[in-house]
Amino acid sequence: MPVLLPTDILFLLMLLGLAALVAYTLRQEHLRRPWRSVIRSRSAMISLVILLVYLLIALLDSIRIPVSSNAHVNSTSAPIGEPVTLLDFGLGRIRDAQEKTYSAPLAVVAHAREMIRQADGREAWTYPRLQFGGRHLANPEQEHASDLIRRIALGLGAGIAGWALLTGFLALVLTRRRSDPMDFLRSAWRGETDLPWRAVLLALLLISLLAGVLVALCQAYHVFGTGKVGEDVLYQSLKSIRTGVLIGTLTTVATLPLALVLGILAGYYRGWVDDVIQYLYTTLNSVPGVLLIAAAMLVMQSYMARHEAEFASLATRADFRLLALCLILGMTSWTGLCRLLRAETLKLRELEYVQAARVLGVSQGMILFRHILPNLFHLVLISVALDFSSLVLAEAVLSYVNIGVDPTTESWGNMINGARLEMAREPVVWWSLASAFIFMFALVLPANLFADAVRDAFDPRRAE
Amino acid sequence: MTFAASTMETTASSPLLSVTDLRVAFRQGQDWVPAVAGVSFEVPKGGSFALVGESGSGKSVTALSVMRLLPQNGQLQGGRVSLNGTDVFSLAERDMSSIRGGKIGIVFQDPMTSLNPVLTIGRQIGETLVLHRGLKGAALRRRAMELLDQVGLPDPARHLDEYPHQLSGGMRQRAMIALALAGEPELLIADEPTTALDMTLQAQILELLRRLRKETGMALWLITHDFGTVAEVADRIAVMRAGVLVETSGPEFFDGPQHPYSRELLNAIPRLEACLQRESPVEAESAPAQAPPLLDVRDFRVYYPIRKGIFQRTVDQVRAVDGVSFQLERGETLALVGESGCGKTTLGKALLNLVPATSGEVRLDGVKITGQMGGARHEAQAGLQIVFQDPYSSMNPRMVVGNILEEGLRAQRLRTTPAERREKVEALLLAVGLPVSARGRYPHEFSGGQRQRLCIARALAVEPRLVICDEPTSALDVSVQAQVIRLLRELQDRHGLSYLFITHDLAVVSELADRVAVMHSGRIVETGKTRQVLFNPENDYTRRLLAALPKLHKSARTHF
Repeated sequence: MPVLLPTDILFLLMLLGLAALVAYTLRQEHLRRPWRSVIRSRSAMISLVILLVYLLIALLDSIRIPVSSNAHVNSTSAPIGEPVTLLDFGLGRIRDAQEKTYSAPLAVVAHAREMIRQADGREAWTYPRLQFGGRHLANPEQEHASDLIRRIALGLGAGIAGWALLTGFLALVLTRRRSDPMDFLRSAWRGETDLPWRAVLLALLLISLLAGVLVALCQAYHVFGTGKVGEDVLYQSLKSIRTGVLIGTLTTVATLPLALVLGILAGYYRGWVDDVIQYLYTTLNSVPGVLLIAAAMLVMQSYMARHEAEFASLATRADFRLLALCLILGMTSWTGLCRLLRAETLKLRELEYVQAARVLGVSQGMILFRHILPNLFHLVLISVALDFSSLVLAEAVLSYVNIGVDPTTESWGNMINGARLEMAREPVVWWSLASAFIFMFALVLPANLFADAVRDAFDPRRAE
Repeated sequence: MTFAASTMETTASSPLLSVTDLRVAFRQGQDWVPAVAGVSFEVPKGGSFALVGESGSGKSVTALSVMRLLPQNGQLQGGRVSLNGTDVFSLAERDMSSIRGGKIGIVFQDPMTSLNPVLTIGRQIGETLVLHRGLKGAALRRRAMELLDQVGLPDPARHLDEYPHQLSGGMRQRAMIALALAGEPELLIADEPTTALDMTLQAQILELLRRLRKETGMALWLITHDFGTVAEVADRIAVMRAGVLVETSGPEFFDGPQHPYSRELLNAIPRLEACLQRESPVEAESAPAQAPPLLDVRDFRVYYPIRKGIFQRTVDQVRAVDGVSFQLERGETLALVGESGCGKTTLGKALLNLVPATSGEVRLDGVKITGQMGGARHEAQAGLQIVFQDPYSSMNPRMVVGNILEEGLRAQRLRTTPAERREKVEALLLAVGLPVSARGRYPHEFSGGQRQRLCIARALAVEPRLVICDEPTSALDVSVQAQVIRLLRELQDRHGLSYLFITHDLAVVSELADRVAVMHSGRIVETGKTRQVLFNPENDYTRRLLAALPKLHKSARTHF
């Protein structure tokens, strides 16, 4: 039986909603048209592939199974009885591979020297061997490099094999009714297909090569090193994906109803409704966002302290705090979109088709729903796409000032926060920061590129 | 006579501008769509040339390519343009900028967007003077003032320091012309210079262009869709269609154009005499006097408050409609004529409660509809519908035509089952001359005229008794305009509709209206039978409007 935390449920519901939206879009010609121009763009398609990979990881990390049914995981890092996610299950090996403290990426020995009693009884001031990283090597000095090369080669091979399987599968699915899959692959290779399939396949190749190498290496090494208490940094970064994606998406979902309802009401009814809503968002806008978030998080923490019984386990507490952060971020970031929607509604309500509907006696609710809302949709889409990446970054900033997610939640913000001290060490511990940076960058850059493509396709000022 | 002959000779030997086999195409997706497909013509020194065509015929693109100002997705695909013997297309870009403004001046259609809103008129004219004439200081100001004076702007010293938004539409167009003249060009291109202006202003601007040509000796190249303006100004006329010139001729053009397309266009122009040939149905039948009129408007007023200060106190009011009374009988068409800003559109919207009315009484079929609120009002005015001016913004771009036409049926619960609604929608489409298959298509797939047909169908869906037509033809090309007018007349005969036809165009009025009400600054200044108002006006303002009408609309000069 899967165990679901509130954020898991919301995330899954959101994915379902997204799927429903996609299905609806496919049936509406006027919605399909701009999307066609989005998916014809090479950079947008590559970005989409990367974003889908991230989404998939986040999804795997949101489906929890109770630990008792799983003999594999009897680790020290998670308290007994806490359910683990499918991702944890898959990453069992590196999740359990604990070291004592820092170790560099792919290292076989620790980052710092220690007094070690050797086999012959003498004590030496040297780098101790790691418990997991390169344990199988008898003589690391000679075997390390060749072992790495062997594993990388193996990983590349596995990556190519996996990609070939995936490509074959894709070709079969895409040409199921029409033509020969080989023809499709040939024209894709020559770049003759309508959609940029060649770019997609190349992106997939790159991703599978990367994944192959990572999997091959992480069987015996800490690919991104280990952190302060010896946890694997790659595992941390992978777990952070869910936090980042969740904050990016759930927050957006939290802002939408407020921004839509208030923006449309203010723009359509004007008068005192407009005054009240404008007053509300100008006031909210004039309070520094960080202050508001810090205050709300403190209130939330004191609430959790008073209702300790309801937040018994570490996981529920961390989850509640994540959810609260999403909602609070949502509450403070709806004003921009609301303002935009209000202005657009002000313009739309004077348009002749809205007036014609009024003359025909169409009810106000119907006018809002059928005439105003669909014509605001492009604005919502553009701003959601653009906001996503800034929210992912906002999480990092907030965790850095300690008002972000729970310290026990893996997040890029927490990793960067931890790196504050690591950067001051000598020799410097750079891999936590680097790893968080790489993973975040690989999410935010495609998100931005995709958002640009969406804006180009939907923004009426850029049309044609 | 000898003088005329000699000028003819010199112009023939060396034209000011000669365009040979010009070809321009626009990129649409992967393809190049030709916009200008081999156009050749000449503009003699000091001559005037008119390029006439309907929208999309490529006339503006021709002008832009001569100026080398084609938009990003446009491409010159061939041809030669020479100005005073120099090949324009072989010039470097920096030499080109001395030609633009210096040798060729251009005036665009919309004076609102072609002047920079954050610079004073004087600064903008000064810019050109510095660039092309090298003037400075007091001399610059004096010349700018002279120019404004030349284009007939009263009190030029004051307007020099004003911003574009402080000028009215007509004054702005004059300032725009002064700006074009500042470089003392040899050729002035006027791209639809009067289309955005009111009738009386149109006449003034045309008169101004004619005078300026005489005074400065520059050549004038007029681009327009309106034969009326052409007849007033041009010596040579070329008719353009789908990127090619179908006919080029002299002023004898109006006595009998050669090409069937030109003839068709000229025939489509509405003429004042049209009303003389028609029998008004109301006149013929003379309805029984005791029945109340279909629409009875008494002392109707719409005031807009002007609010000032932090408390938004009402300090004054704009009297958009100021005590208007009129009646409209069944089956009758009443035209409400006036220039922009006279309150005619506000009146139409206020009748439908789209704009709140200040006072007055409106009765539809004897039932008072003013003073009722919400649902009751909707019910009371169910027999009242509207067709708007702009066929592009009057349909929701996210809905298919079938749903757009159904909307009224659903809202008023007229046809409850989908099958019934579908049947009605198909009947409506056929009634306005569109195929049944239009049901599943989006508005953007239709042309302007077709869209206007759809808007008419939408209004008819709820079976109204009175349709308010707010300038339904003024955004359309002449030939399409004629079709829409014909359709409106047909529908009136078939369904016994009444129209309140709001327009600025007196010629259209004569084609359609039984009676005319002339509106000026919120009041009706004259009402009467169409024939009487158009040919025997009593009011000075009406006379002024009629005088401003281009001659082509007035005279029956064309006999084919």
